[in-house]
Amino acid sequence: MASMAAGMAVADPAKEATTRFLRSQFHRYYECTKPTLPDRFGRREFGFMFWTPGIVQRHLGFSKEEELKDFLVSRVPTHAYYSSAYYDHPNAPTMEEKGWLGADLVFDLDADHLPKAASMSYPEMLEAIRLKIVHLYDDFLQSDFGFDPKSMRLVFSGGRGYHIHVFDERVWSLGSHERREIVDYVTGKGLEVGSVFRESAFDRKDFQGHTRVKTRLVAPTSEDPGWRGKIMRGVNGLAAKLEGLSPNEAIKFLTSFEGVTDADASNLYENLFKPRATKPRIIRGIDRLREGQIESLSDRSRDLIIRLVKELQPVRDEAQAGVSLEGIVQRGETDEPVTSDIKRLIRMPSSLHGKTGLQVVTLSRGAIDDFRPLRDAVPKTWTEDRIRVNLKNKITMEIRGEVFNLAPGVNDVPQYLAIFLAARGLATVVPEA
Amino acid sequence: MELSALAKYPFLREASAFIRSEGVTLEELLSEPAYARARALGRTRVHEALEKGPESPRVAIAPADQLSQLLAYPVARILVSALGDTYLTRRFALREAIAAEGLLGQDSDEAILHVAAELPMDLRREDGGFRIHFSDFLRFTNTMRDAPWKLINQPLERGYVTLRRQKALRVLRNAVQRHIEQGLPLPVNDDIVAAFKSDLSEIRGLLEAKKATFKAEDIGKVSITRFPPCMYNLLAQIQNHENVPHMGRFAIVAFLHHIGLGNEEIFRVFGDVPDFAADVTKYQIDHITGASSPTEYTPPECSTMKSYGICPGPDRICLTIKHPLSYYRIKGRERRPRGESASTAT
Repeated sequence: MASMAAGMAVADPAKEATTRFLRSQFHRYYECTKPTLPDRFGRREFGFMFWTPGIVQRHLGFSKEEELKDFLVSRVPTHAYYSSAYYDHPNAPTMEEKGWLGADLVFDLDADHLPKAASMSYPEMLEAIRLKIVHLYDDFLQSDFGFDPKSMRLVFSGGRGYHIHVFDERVWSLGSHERREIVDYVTGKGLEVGSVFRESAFDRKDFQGHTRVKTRLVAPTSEDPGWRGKIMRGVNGLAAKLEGLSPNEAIKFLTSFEGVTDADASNLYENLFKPRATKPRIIRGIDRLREGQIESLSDRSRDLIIRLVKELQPVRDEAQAGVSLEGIVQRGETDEPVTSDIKRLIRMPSSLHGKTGLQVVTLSRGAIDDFRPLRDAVPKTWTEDRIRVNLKNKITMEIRGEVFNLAPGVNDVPQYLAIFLAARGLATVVPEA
Repeated sequence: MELSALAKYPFLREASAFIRSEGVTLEELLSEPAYARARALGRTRVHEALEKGPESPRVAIAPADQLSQLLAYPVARILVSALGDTYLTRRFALREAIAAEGLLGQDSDEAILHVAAELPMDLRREDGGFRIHFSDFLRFTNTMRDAPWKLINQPLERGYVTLRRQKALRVLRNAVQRHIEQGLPLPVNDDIVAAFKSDLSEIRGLLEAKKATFKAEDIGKVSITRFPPCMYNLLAQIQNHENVPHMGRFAIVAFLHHIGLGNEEIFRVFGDVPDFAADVTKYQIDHITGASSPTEYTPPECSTMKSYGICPGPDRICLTIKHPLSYYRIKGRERRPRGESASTAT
């Protein structure tokens, strides 16, 4: 007991009042909210976290909507999750006893994965992630994987990210390896240039018993399916980007890649843009490239441009990420362990995120274009009642369409803002005397 | 499908339905002189599963021969089931699947689609080749870990991967193999065992002889006496020029890597695997060990090894662990009593 007492913080009235405040608001929310049930609800494991950090309750199964609602109202969790997997016995304590039946495919994009997350504001981060999730949805899941929008669910996590749940039954039984292949596809891992450019023989000479075959690389077209088209759009995009720059800027941009020398850069630039007197018209390398003739470049330049396009797949730094190479720079950086983990818990739509007090919102593809979390994920249950809070720092933010400029110290703010600030740890509720 | 086609693809449901409709009973198949040819062919198939070399021709012209070819398949399955050996079962399924791949290669596109539909596999025709739903592509290529088979290197559009005929057949082979394996073993009664008594003991003899050749030799600095039975068997099979399935090669490479062998040493172990060109093997080793890929793969856990039929059955230590690498660690702690063989597999 002594050690437990030592581990517990000294009673802090402000902290206690804050937790009491948040808990009672969360309670009110769950009382008047009908929970959104996932499909095959009874087959999923539920997990919750509460107001004491580190306490996790897992291995719960519910068979009726009322049971879940009763649980939420009586226990008032800070975070609510359910499994992407379906089980025979969702409430069994071990995976073996649970009996795995299958799992949805879940993509999780979180601001933690943004290279510049630290220097971005909360709305900026969310906006960057929103663009990525839309790209993942449109250009990968819908166009390449062919998932029907009816079998996909876009979800705002209530925190710093977005999720896509794919519940197409053809993916249910896929194992971890197969799911990892999907993640590799989406993140550009393991792409072989050979699978993009095919070598094709165009000349064959027999000489003193030897056969010499000349081959050339045949480029795909921008419309080609899968990564071939993406790479070709990348090559064209990079060429177009260079065309828009002055020669000096272009060389500078090229040499900003690791290991690219001035000579390589000028060589490529010249290859692309120097007019060549070819009959019947004067033509530049870039023009022929646009016609799909990758062999218009010298071998060295060709290898360089392919390498650059390959390197542009991961977002490395802002200088290069600023180039919008369709399908390449904006590659879907999905949270890999989640997608390939077949037993993972995911945030429950319509629940509250304990670190923001925002709602986990399910969105249609149309709705996400205009979705702004700090306007649209603030629960309607939160009122305008004034709450006295103590701010650690000054706050400048917009929430529910209202702009706030608050000085550090005691302020009276609307309940909806008080909840957000308190949950994020930016403010404490001033205990009533 | 006609009898001539069913004789080529006897693993199809239609084929068993045909046999039922012909009124051939199990008793007749086991004992009637009229089916002596079918029994002989069935036996041959099981033998072939254990041997290298080309299989006997499977295309029959005369209807009677076709019926024998067709009936040979249930006979072979009964023999394999009666022996109840994982290694034999896997070899048999592989052999039959390779045969089907060869026959389909000479057959029409319709035949390919017909067989695929039964497995079931969402395969469709697409100008000059085929397309397959990506989920089936992943499912049926999950034992093939080299780059040309990675999903990212496939043309994927609207859910379908475009495949050339030859590649489609290779995927189909895997599916057939799995289909056959999953249907085994059949329940076997005493009558069956009695009817095939001499055949069974002959095959058992072959199988024992085969397994006796699985004696692995020490490699480098690692101690093979600490290997779990699965890895020991895989290593022995490789050293004996057995054709190890893809998953098996993946498992042993990852295992050898994790117990501390360098890529060069692993390559030397594989140096003379019959059907793999040196550069492919080298490529695969570098890929699995993370030398040329972002992932350093871990060997599959026991449950995966079991589901791929690579687990030869657990021994005393296996019962306490979930991962082959744990075996190596545990065995390193306890000293083996003198004289106990490393080959604990049965």
